[in-house]
Amino acid sequence: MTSYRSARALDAQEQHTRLVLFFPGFRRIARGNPVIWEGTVQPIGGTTYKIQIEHKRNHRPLVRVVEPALERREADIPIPHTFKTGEICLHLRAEWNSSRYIHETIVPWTVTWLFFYEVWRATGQWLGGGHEPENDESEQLEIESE
Amino acid sequence: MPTLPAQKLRDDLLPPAPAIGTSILDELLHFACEALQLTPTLHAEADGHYRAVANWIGAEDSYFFGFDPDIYPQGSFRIGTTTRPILDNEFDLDFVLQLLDRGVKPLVLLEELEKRLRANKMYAPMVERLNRCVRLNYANQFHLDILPGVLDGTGTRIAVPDRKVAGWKSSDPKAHAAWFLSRGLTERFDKAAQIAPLPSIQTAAEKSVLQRAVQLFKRARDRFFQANCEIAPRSIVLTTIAAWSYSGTRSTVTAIYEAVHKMRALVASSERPIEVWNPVNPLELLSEHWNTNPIAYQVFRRWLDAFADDWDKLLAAKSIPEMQQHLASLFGDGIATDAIVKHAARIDDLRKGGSLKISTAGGLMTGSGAAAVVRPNTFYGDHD
Repeated sequence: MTSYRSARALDAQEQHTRLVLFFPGFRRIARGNPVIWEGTVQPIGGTTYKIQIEHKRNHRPLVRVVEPALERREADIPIPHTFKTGEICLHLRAEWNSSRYIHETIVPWTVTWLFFYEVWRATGQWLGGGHEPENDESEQLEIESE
Repeated sequence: MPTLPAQKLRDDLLPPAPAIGTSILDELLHFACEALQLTPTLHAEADGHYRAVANWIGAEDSYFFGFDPDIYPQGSFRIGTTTRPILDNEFDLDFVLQLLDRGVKPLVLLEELEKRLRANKMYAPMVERLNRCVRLNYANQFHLDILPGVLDGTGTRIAVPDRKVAGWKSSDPKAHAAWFLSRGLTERFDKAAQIAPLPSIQTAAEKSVLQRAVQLFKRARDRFFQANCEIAPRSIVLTTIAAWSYSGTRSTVTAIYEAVHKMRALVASSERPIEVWNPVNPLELLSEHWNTNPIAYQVFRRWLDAFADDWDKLLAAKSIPEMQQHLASLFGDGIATDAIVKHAARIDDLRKGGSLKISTAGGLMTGSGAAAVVRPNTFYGDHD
């Protein structure tokens, strides 16, 4: 797996400047720590999803779909690749660190995730690949060890 | 009585087709057509059966030997629009037994064909007599319908026996096929040899938009008329109307949209059944059954309305689940799901190949002008 740990950590303002430059549909709705951005994406040019990206210093960004609400296919079967807190699971821990731009990683991964979510809703099959972690506690939400 | 006008209806009379999602829909339809194809194995078997029967009918000791027999495929097999049956029914494969006119009476021709087939131990139990042809039933695989006809001296036009009228009917399947293929802007069909090889198996990617549109129309028809297939609109009629309506668009979604709306406009122009003639044979009324069976025409109109409604909903679908739902309603759940799975696999391949990108509006795209490339990642997920 590629390692991205060589570069220096980016601060919130650096992330913000690039994010809204490349994705003008995003705006910052909370400053400080964490910073929260809200914006819209349209994976297939149809449904528009409003999403929030919450970024606390030295943590991986959390992505929530605000609307339309994500829906299960069956009441007792969770949506694949989501945390029980409701955030969506986009990457392994080693695939992101604070030196990586959110607009180059988190946003494209979110759009791709939403595409495969729609496919899963339609077919019952998750076709976006990914990791099934079993009881791999180390991959749970936690402070990034840099 | 309205007939298909010689010229196309003006395209600008149509409401514009919505553009959202049509490229995804086109890809889904492409995969749907792929699933409707004859498999290469079945195609090879059909080819073998057809050659064997042709040799039997044309052999030296056959009644037909002196008629310079020429056997060639007609209909969907000739024009690349075969459609997988919904259940495990047999494919319908149609062939012409073209003969020189030796002054034989029409019903004698049918009787002699049946006699010749029954004289073969293998074919004897498979023979079934139909109005204009003799059918061989290959259980769980095909019906092979052989339509005898004598050249009437006008190019490829033939006179075919009809039991119901105890006389001849005019037909020109070769010219019709050539017309259809030219309408689809494809010229991949070879001239029929003495025993013409079946058109080589085509993948859906090689098919013209018009061929795909016809496959999909037929599939939707088969589903709608599943319990009443005896009153279903004939394939040749749907094929002719679709080809007549075709504007040259490269989008299957748009081609079907245009064909449906032009058909409806035509049908709405009269209470009497429309007449669909073979555009290259003025003696061949393809839609004859609508004149003799008004119920069939009424149900056709209902189907057309239902289809147009479903198609509009499909075009308006904003999400993949909605597309699945409307595709399933038109073509069947298996076809719809299979198409979406294949589309998703292609998107995943693009991602792995590094060519999947994101537009500034947050949409998946390829090509230039993107805001970001989708870099490698591993969706991780543990809900517990």
